[in-house]
Amino acid sequence: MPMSNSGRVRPLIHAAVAGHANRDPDAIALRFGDRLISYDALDAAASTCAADLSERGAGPGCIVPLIMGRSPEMVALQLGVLKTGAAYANLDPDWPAERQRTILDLIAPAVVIAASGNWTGRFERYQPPDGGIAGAVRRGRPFEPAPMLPSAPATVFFTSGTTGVPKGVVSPHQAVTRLFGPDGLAGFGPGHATPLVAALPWDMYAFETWGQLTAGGTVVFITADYLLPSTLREVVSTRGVDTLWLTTSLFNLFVDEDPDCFSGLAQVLAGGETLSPDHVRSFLSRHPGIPLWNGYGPAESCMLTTTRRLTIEDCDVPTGVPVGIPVPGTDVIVLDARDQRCESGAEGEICIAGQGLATSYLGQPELTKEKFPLIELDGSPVRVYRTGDIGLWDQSGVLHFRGRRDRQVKISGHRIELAEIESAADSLPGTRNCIAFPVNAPDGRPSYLALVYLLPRSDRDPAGAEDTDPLNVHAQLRDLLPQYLVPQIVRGLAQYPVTANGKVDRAALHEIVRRRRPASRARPAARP
Amino acid sequence: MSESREQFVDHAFEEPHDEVEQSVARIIAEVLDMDRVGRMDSFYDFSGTSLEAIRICARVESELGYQAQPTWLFTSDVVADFASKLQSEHALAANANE
Repeated sequence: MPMSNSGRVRPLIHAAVAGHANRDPDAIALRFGDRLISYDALDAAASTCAADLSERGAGPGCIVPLIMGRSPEMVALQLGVLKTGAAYANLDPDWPAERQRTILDLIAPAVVIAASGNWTGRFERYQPPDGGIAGAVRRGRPFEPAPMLPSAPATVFFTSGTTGVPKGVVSPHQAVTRLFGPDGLAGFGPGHATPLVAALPWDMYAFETWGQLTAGGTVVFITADYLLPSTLREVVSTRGVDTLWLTTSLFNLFVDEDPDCFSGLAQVLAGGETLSPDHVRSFLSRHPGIPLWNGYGPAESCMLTTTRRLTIEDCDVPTGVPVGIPVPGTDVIVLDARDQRCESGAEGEICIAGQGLATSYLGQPELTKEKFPLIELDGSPVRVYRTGDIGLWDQSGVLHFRGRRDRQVKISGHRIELAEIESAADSLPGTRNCIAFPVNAPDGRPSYLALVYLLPRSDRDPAGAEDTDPLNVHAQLRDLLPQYLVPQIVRGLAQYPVTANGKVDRAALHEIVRRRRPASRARPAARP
Repeated sequence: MSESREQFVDHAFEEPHDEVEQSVARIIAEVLDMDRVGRMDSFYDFSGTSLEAIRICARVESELGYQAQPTWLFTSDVVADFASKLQSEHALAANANE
């Protein structure tokens, strides 16, 4: 299968935005409550930021971390970083301090953008001046963007890693921009608007911002922390929102609780986890005129890899709704165990090639080589990403997802490596043989996380009663892990139930944890 | 079949005092699949997740007509406090609209 759109040069993110500022300076780029920020203002503010940051060492080859809440100013700063030739990395301000430190040490930045509070970090910090975008426009510092190729790194996304270290996925400009534009995804560009809902460190944050901003559309900030059906109704009716991305679990919730909240939208994209055929069917019956797209793809190939315009018939496919066909600038290959292309109907590993591929995992060259190998395809070497997902092509050339090989689960759109939780838990003094697992809701879908560990064998074990107390274990995990990885249930057991084969009986563990009172009574931090 | 509340909390069940508390307790019990939830019970007693908080707030909004934010549930996690928060926010919004 030939590479789609491979010959076409994809623009740089900030150049695309600047282009819109030139063509239609008064077009609205950002809406934050009643604040309207034009493309002209955004681009001018970005240049001022770039000048400031460049003086502090930001430039090609650098990564500039941002630690701040979402705001129009954040977008201007990100564009400023890009203009200097550096890549930006959004760190979640709610992450535990230790996780932030680990990532900052990994990046070793010349400068960190941190909006508020005292700074005790090792690295130099740039605090954006008061006055916001308007102030930056007034200061009006010109800046000639550094020359760079579309393959230059633009951003770092963070996902769960299998050791204690979070995986930073370094993504180039072309990976972001390949999806949007005249032959890109529908619903992005002048006259279109998307609400900004996704978590800061994720690739879908880039989708919801650069999707519209590189195409000339509008980004609508949600002033609350969470999107509710009522919030969606409001932004559709008063802020012009017409294109929406929702993670599967949120999509299902909205369909359950307030299916009419989607009225007025022109396209809905959903994904991040396997879509529920019943919920898709329900949406399509209620809103036959609103295109609903399944979006599939790991962060390692930037945001989306395939899309499928869903139909009622798709809901009857016994193995699940199809994930569709590759997006622009992207190729998908299903490989068998000998790295040969699978025939249609045969299952294999889904591998991805093309402009969406990340350049590397931050600070992990060995893992990068392992997950992004060069393989021989039709006589030529091609760089691919091995997703670890199993899939197959059907007779019509449509891709179907068939599950994962390893111990990664998705809960509420979060990609969770169970091994990362176990690694953190095993590092604590009072635990051993930690097992992390999802607890399923009655419908069989993973709902939340549990951690069990073995209590000390005897009095000779140095770990004291305090160390082995589940409350303490839970509290320590909160200091090591971001909220979405902290298990809701933590239990210490004298022994694990085993099956007839002598292996840990995971089904029994699941039942023990699900039916009994949770050992952890501590109230977690407010923002999960 | 719902879970029994007593599997999850030590303290005694306290009957919700008024209509708002009753509705909130009922909605939380339904979403978390508990047979009942008392007015002094906390969202965290039942290992509530952020997705469940969103669902609770969506139902509160559509059934009670009160605006509800998941962050309010995270900080006012006891049923009686959450019900109180809903009402005070509702009053504030009503005043602002006058």
